[in-house]
Amino acid sequence: MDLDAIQQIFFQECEEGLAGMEGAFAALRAENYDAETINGIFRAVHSIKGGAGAFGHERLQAYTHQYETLLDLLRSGALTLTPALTNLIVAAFDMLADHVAAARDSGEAPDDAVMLARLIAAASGDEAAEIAASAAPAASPVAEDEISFTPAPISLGDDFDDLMAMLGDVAPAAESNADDASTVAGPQDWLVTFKPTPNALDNGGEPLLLLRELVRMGGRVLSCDVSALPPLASIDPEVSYLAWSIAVPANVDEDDIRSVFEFTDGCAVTLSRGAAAETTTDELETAVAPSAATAAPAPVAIAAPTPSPAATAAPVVAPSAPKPAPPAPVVASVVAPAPTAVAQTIRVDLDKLDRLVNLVGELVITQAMLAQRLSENNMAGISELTDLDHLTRELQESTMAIRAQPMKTVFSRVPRIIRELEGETGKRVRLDIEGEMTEVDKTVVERIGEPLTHLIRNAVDHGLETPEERVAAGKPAEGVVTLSAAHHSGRIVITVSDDGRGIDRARVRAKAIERGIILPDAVLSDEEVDNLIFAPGFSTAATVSNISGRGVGMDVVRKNVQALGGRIGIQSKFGSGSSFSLSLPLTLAVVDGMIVTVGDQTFVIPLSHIVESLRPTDGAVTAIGVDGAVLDVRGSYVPIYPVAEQLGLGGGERDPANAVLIVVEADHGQAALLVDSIQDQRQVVVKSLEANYQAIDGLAGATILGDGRVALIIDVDALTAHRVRTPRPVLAHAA
Amino acid sequence: MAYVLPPRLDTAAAPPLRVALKKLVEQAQSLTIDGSAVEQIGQACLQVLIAARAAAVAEGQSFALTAVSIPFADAAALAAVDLSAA
Repeated sequence: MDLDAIQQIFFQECEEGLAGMEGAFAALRAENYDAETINGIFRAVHSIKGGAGAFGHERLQAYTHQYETLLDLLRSGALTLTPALTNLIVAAFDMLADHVAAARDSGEAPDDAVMLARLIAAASGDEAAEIAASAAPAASPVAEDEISFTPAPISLGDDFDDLMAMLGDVAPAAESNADDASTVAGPQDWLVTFKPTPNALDNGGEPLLLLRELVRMGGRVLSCDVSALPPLASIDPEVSYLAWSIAVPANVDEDDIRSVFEFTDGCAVTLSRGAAAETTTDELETAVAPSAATAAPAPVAIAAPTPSPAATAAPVVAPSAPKPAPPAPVVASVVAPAPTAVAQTIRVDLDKLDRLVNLVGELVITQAMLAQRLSENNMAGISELTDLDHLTRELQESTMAIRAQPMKTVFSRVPRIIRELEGETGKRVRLDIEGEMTEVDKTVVERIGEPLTHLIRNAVDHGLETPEERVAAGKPAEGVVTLSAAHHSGRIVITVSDDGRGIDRARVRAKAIERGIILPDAVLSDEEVDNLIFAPGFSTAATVSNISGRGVGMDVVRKNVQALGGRIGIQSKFGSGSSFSLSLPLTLAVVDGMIVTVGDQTFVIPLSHIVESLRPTDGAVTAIGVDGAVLDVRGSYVPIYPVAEQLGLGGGERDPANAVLIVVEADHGQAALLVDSIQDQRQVVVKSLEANYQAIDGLAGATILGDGRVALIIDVDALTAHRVRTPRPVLAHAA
Repeated sequence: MAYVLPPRLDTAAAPPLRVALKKLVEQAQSLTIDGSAVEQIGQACLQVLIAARAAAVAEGQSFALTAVSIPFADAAALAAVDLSAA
């Protein structure tokens, strides 16, 4: 795995971390959080910082450092979370996301000076500093280490005497501790010695990061062995000469310690516990024996420790103080959950997964062929075939489940969008999210983000009123945008609704006439007027804003949703809000279909559209107009669309009396598809027409049937949209 | 006059740092180093500073770090290196 690939993983982890943080913020806001919530946020930032350092994203690292410092104070209880602080860490989060994006796309890092100043100010307020100093002894070693970061660079540089005084206090203690590592490392603590290889600094390698990792586990660097360091005159500055002894609390798992050195090639690491000193090394000849630290000719001390005068030295510099035991359990509880969580997931290259999905698809087809062949030989009833059918279906479902992702990955980006919109519009918005754990195929998750973002922006920009307008209309000043996801008859339905002003149909109509989208005398139903906002070039915003775009949005939203095999619907009540619902297939790869015959062709009608199939009785079909007909389905009339006619096929039944009518649910309500006969009902694997040939209106794709023939899959919405006989918006250019 | 360390002291910055400090030691100047601007420092430059301190001590010169930034102090504390005045 090369560095780029590892870096890719880092950015994936960043995304996951950021998504997790967004979830935690919701809990903070609802005041429904505990110490673990803040710990979770801290860990996410800490991981990003670690990776940023390893991959040389300095701006990101510097930023996360200050962010982490503040979070650590909150985590350790040195600072109490106030609403103002919550707002700050949420705002800082947004900038963190920008930093990550900049690092990932090699873009320019955001200007974070103001935010950094705010973070520093929040972390080093006088009151907070006092609390920090008094709380420090109880804090975990991790916290102590991080508190030693406490930002106050100016006072440090300016007041050297103070610093020296502090050093004087601390350094001797550190030295005396370093004299005998075994006394500092508790009797059962791990004693780790670590000497990087001479070329450890090549290619941006930084052994200090490994030390940092050990410290994060609760470890303390006992001493640094500089005995191998040549004189200044002959030193090769790019060769590593140092070695360290580190004490790690006894309760840290050996594997966790070893994992720190996992990616270091051939460096000498020894790990021993107390006096037992069961030693394992990669390179024994260069290993630094535990006693080497004490024998080091140049005794070393922890120089320049706690730089912040605010943190008033001693208690905070506790890493060198001889009381290592109490904090250890704290560390354990913080560190422990992470490995468990990691062990339960595995990263798989998406290509491999797609190959698996494809193979399962082929298996489904082969199984269908086998079933057909057996049935031709009167062996359709054998129980092995039924078993194979079940297994295939289960395998297919399991495979698709691997690709399924919760909508949370998309929804977690929305709070930020809302925050930005609040800032830009001055509106106050509360976001309610429902059903974020609803799972849907990865492709859908990936491609739904953009249309969803536009709908959200639209809801806030056009839908919600200003606080003043809302109060005047007798509504709460704060508007509500609700985002929900739910499974609904084999599809996922995502709804974006607001309690704003609703669609002003008179205005929409006037605008549509003005834009030449409809003729002034067009007769439109309410629904049709609402749908006008999806017309290309339509925008009702009084001024073009940079929020909802330039009126190119809604038609693009609809196109994107349709490209996913989805539909978009609007429900709106003037004065009380609008609701946009997107209905999408759960997966784009497999579809349950009804196999029908039309002339000498075989077609597949997706089962999700089918309401029922009817063979019309006398009088159930009524002719309308020149060649139209409707079917009486228990009192309601449904237009009939002969499939052969719609697709321009020669042959095929046209007379409803001799045909089968399949009632389907489509964009424009119910319709009846007229086909010759029904063959079968089964699952088919969708093969893209676009990828293999080209898109054809009225067809959603193709599939290979059990007998090896290709059958085309009907796009019910498109097919029934063609011959709509009810009055439609009359297009001006068509008129 | 204090020698001001540059903000970025990664491995790439170590060779020029060594040359600069070596020159100061050879000129028999006392080593007064200002580390307040340091934003990043890695093992390579810490090694050079340790060696420079040792060289100054060996030459009977003084070595002093007049100011340290937080990242600098943090790295020095993490690596447990001794850069105290001599």
